[in-house]
Amino acid sequence: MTDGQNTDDRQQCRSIVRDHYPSVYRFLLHITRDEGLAEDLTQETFAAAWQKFNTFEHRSDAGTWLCRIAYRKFIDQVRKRQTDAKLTENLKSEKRSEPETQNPMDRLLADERSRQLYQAVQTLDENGRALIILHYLQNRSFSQMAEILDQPVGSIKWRVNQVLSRLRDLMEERKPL
Amino acid sequence: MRNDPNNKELELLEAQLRQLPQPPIPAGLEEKLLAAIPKRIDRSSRQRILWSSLAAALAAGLIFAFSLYLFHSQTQSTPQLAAIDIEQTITRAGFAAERLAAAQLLAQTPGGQEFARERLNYVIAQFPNTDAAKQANLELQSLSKRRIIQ
Repeated sequence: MTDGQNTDDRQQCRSIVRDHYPSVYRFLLHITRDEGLAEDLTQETFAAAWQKFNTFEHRSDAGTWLCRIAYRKFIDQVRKRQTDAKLTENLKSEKRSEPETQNPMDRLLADERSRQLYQAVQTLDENGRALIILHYLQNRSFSQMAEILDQPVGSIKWRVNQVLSRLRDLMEERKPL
Repeated sequence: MRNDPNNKELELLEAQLRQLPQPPIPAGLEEKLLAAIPKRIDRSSRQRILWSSLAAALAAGLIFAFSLYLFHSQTQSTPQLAAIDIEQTITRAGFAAERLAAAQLLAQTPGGQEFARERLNYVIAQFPNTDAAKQANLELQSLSKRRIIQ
């Protein structure tokens, strides 16, 4: 490989970082609900991406490819943490009504309705959360989501509708009487 | 499709989800990610994988072809050759045994010993490495002893 080609590759990598690291980080932050963990996983995602750079076929856009790696990293992390009782409790805190103190989203959500909605999203299981985040917070198409989550497009559409109905029910439950 | 109140609620919910604010990015993360880009991006490994796959496919093809050749030579040629060999061996042993039996009969017949000796020598010369040849050799020695005694 020539030095020129390597320089081009490094330049391409720098562009990929600049263009996509915010969405990768935000996806991981929403799904992990932990700033520190989201930052670590973002770095792990890009490290894994450089290792797999040769296999990146440009069949999908770089953002989808990175999100797919990020989701795998998150799933690996969930599996690792399932052995740790304290952290498992954090991951299973679906019933918790108090906002996550570590999550900067809570500081941004000024109105009560948005706060409740975001909290309701956080009570969903990991897959449901990922669906809502990818589709509504990150504007990913169903086909991109299918690639990221490694599920058929039809299942993704059906699941998004299901999770949306679940969210509506959760919001109903939270309505003051 | 979404005219009923339930669907209106869902549409409202979708709109609210899309309007949720984006969280801030931690300071220094971009620099960390840029610094972690490796000095060299190895593009050759993909070609290596391609060449390895081709070499493996070629090797598999050669092994398959050689296996086919072995299979054919074992299932067709070898059994045919083996059957002919066995048949020839049996026929040869049969001829040798017939001639030995004739020579033994002649040896028992008065005045027939000289003819028997000739036939025994014939068996030894024409059918070497057979049981009949070994037997003929013993018979010949026995005839020679009898001749000396006489």
